[in-house]
Amino acid sequence: MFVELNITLRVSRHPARNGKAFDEYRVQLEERMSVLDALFRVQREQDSSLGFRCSCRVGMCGTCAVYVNRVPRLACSTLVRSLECDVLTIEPLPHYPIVKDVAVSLQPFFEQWRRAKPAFRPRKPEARDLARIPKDSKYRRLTPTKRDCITCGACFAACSIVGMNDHYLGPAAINKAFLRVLDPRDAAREERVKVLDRSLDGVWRCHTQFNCTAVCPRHIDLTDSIVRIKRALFWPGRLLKP
Amino acid sequence: MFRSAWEWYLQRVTGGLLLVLLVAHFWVEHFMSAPLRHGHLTYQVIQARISNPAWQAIDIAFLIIALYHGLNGLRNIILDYGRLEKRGVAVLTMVLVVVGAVWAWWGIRAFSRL
Repeated sequence: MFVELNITLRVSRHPARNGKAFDEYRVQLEERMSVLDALFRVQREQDSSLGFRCSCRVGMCGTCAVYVNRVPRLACSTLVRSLECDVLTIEPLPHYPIVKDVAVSLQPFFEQWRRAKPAFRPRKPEARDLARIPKDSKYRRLTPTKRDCITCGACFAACSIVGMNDHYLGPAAINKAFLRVLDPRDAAREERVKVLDRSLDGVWRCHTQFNCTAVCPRHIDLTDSIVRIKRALFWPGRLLKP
Repeated sequence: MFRSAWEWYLQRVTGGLLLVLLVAHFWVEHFMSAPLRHGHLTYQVIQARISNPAWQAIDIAFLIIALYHGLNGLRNIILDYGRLEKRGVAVLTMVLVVVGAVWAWWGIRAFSRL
C-alpha cells in the first residue's frame, strides 16, 4: 500500500525571480520518493525553469548534493519521508558559486583537491608485478573505510573553516592526501606532507568539529583522517614511515 | 617533528596546565591561608608569599604558559580567517613573539621590586 505525502517544497532561486529568493511548490509524493524525485516532479509538472544537477540517481556520483533543511545531503539518496517535515527547504550548497537555482560549481572544491596531489605516483614506475600489501599493515588497517569518497562536496559545504578561509584544503582533499601518504607504494609523500603541514591552509586549521563526518553520504570519518595526519606530523616515525 | 605540530601540541599542553593552574590560583588567592579566609588580608601577607622562590617559580610559569596559550590562540584565530599570505604570517608571528617577550619580562621584573 502506498502512503502519499503532501509537502511544501521551498526552493532557492538564483537569480531571484520577481524579487523572491525562494519559490514554494505544493507537491504530492509517494512514500519512497527522494528529494531528487520531488525536484523532478516540480520541474515536470509545475516549473520547467527549475535548475538542479544530477547524474547517476543512486548515490554513486555525488552530483546532486544540495542543502536540504540546512544540511548538505545527496538529493537522490535522501527520502523525503525520513526528514519528517511538512516544508522542505532546498538551497544550493554553501561555500560554492551558484550556477543556477540549487546547482553549484564545484570549482573551489576541486582547486583544493588538486593542491593535495590526489594522483598516485608510483615509487617504481617500471614495476610490472602486483604490489603486495600485508594484511597487518597500517595502510590495509586504516584505509578501507576511507576510500569511498565520491567527491560530492558535502563535507566542504559543511566545514565552518572553509566558510572563513577560502584557502583551506577542506576535509575531502585532506582525506585523499591521507590515503596517499599512507600508501607504501607512493613516491610523492614529502610533497603532500608539505601541503598538509602549511599553517595557513593545511590540517592545522581544522577545529575538529566533525561537521564533515556528520554529513558525508559515504560515512567516511573525515575528521579522523585529519586528526591522524596531525598526529603523524607531530610524530612522523609512527605513521609516515614507508 | 614539524614546527606547526609543536605549536599545536604546546597549545594543548598549555591548555591542560592552565586548567590546573587557574583552579590552584583561585584556591590560593581566596581560600588557602587563615588571614584570607578570615578577611584579614594585608600587603605583608601577600608579600610574604610571593617572596618565596617556589611561589615565584609557579607564578612565572603561570605567566609564561598563559602568554603562550593566549597569544598562540590569537595567532590561530587570525590564521583561521585566511587573509594573510606567507610573509604576513611571518610578520604576525614576530609581532606576537615580541609582545609575549615584553609582557613576560614586564611581569617577571615585578618580582625584583619586592
